[in-house]
Amino acid sequence: MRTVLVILLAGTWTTGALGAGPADGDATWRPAASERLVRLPAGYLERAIDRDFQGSPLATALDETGRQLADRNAGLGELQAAVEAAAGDERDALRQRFLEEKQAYLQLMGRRHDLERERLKTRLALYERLLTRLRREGGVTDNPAAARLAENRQAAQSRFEASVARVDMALFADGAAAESRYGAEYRRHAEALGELVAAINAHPMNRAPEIDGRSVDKREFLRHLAGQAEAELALLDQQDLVLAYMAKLVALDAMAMADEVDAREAETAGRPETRDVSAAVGFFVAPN
Amino acid sequence: MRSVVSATFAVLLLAPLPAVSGPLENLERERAALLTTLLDPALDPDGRQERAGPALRRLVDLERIVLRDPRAAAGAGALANRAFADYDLTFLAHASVERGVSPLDLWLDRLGLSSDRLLAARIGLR
Repeated sequence: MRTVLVILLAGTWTTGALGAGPADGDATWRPAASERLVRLPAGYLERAIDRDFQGSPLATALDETGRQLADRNAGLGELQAAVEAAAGDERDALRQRFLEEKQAYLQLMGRRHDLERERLKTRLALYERLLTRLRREGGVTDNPAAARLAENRQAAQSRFEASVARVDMALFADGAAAESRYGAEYRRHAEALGELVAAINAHPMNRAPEIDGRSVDKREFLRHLAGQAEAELALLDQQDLVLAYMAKLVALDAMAMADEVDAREAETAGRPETRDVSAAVGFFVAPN
Repeated sequence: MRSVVSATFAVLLLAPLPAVSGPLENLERERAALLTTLLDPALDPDGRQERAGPALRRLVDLERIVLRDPRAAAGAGALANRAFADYDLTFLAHASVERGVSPLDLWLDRLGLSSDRLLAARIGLR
């Protein structure tokens, strides 16, 4: 019994770094910051990433670990109740099994944390890659010449829109000069485009995402998602600490139980320990 | 025969590729053609009007294509920078109607060639 407890103690003590190891090599998720993902409406982005994750081996491993943890959780409850009801040797055997189950539970929870950390780190890296791509593609503000061109173009368009009716009146109102084919076709297409753009803007899948009731653009939404992933990682670190303390408690329980078993075995051996030398004085003071 | 075929291939390979022009280059060309017509001393007023009318309407179309199409400015580099930096010169047809002057007057004015300045000018060495 003592040997088993010492092995258990050593096992629990060495799992002090529970959850610190890398996730299994085969349980991976490798999403790509693809063009498709960059072009997706911001409101749909998170769902698309979730869907991609659900199809990965990492998601399968996480689900499997979750199921195993739920089973083990139920088993721990039953064992704890059984320990409280039992007595004598049976109680010792059940306590030992309870400790072993707790150790296995902690190892499983550590693995789950590893997988969860892998998921969050991958997600965070994906958000950062998407943000980089968005910055690169729409990086007008980073380039002064491009920013100036965009500003001039915007000003030119505003001025053109303000004068287009007057130009049409001046050039085409007298009827002598017919509107060009480009002008007529453009007007027809512009109406169709306007209707389509309105429909796209009103589409529920294209609705801008909201943070605290405020609509935000894709870049801000991605920054928000990255912040959330960072927060979840920090919470996971804290959970790791909880796990480490649990492991320490299991180790202390195992030590206490080993001591208890030792003491009981010594008691049942029936050899009282002679510690006080004065108890033997009588053997020496009486004459032979 | 073989050498003739080879020579033909060589000529085809060495010949410069046809230049691919964008809306901005077409606009520049059309504007230059209109100004040439308006400044042509060989044309009488009727002949000038007859040729300038259709050219002006073509120019209006090209100006609208450049202004409406976001791709017109993309990739044109220095040409686009210069074009959008001076609306009056680039979009001459629209700007002249907006200002209520003829395209030629606006163009000369933007280049600093007003009647007053020309009359005040003197011939001399610089």
